[in-house]
Amino acid sequence: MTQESAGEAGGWAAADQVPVYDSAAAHGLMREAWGELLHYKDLLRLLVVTNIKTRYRRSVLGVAWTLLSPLLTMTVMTIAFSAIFRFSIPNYPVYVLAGLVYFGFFQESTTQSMTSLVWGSALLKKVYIPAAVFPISAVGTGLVNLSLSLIPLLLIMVVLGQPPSWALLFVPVAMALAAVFFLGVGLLVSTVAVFFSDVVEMWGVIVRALFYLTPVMYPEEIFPERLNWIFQINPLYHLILCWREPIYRGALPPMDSVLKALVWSVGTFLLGWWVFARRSHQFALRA
Amino acid sequence: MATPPAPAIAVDRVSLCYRIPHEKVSSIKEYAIRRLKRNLVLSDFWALRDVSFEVPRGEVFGIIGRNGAGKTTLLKVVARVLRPTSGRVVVRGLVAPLLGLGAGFNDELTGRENVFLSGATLGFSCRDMQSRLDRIIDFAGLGEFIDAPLRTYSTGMRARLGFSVATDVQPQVLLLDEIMSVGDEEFRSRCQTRIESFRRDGATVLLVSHGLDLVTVLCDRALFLDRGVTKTIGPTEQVVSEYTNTVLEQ
Repeated sequence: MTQESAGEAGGWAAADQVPVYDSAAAHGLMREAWGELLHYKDLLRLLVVTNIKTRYRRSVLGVAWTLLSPLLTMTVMTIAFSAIFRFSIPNYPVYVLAGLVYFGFFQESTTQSMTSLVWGSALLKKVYIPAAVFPISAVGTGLVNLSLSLIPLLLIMVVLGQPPSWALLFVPVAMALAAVFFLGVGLLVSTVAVFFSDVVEMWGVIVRALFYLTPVMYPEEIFPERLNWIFQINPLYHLILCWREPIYRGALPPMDSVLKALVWSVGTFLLGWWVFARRSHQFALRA
Repeated sequence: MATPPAPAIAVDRVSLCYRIPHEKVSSIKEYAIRRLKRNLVLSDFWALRDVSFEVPRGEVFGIIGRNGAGKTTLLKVVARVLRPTSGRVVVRGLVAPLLGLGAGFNDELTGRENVFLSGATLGFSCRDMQSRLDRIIDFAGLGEFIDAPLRTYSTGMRARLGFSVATDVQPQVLLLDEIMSVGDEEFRSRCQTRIESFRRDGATVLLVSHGLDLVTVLCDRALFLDRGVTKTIGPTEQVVSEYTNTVLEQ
């Protein structure tokens, strides 16, 4: 909504700034949309808080569950993989936990982008709000959860005697890259999900496939060399290196992967934003 | 030189088209199959066709018509919920859209928390809502229930809270869609009093109703919408009588 001074407003002395809605005003894809989102920043914040609150309000353990859940999965994975598959990675718990929480962020934020937009479309039929608040709040929720899971991760590192290094300063960069990429993906899949409801389940299958095609729980060396190109074209591979190298190896990720992750993130985000902005005015007609 | 003040609501040759498949295709699999078989029949449904009207500031304007005539669609176009396929809508002033009370409520949160959430969907900041919280809770009259989760509320209680949040600020443009059918008698009369006071303070009201009595009593002018097309527009009495005649004829 643009603010316009209503100069001729005779009986409106109290409000010299009157909001004006003009359906013919340019539906800007980028700049105006961002200005509008800024106006709804409290809604964004409340949606994130609500997501987190409602997730834990009815559970006994509360927020502690966020910390415990990846730890339990890690324990299961450690037992399963070190006892059954017998490949040896030093400090496997740190390796797998780092990968799991990062991949969990991917799964959670993209899936919730879809479900929250489908939920929100009931709201979009009654009151105007920028539809992008739903995918953005989904990624925001994922970021909060990922930050929380840094606590058990650091704890495990200390317990297993893994020295923290300066490379950990790269972790926020990896989180930002991931947030931008996941938002791009979230915008794309949620746009499709509004029109076709079976996309939510199909996406679950795709995520599962990506989980096995990305070195999350196995070391990348066990992947057949001739299939290595799969890693190279998989954006999640590069992203996970950006995140895990500083944590697990205490080294900066390879420059090549950082650049590829950056290109994927920005490219996907721009595409997602464009598709979403072109379709968002039809959301209220659907679902 | 005195230029006439700009109208609060200007609807200029607005049309709105829903593109609907003959059979609802809601899965991507089905869509792909039909696309391949060239079996996807889309038909355009024009919910509104070339509708134009202006509402000057402070006027109460009614929209009447049968079910499916496009009344609610028209209200949604003015509320910015639906974008017109063609034509232009200009609305000047702070809008209170009472299209569905309690839109944006979350069942797991308490009434108090929902005040903030619902306020945020209307574009108000949390700080703003904080300063109005007591007044809103007071008007809703829910007592201790304000701190109970919303899933324990009845439909009427939700409507009370929704109405209180949406109308706490004096709106300049009020969009009403059949909302007077919820809540108990006492609350309904309080709502009516509040709307009446907005009107006295110069708010513009756009009212959609099946109840001709309400339209006759409240509205200065009205529009009779028939299958998306403007049938008559003018003084309420004239429009209402034309509407009654048309309905009786069929």
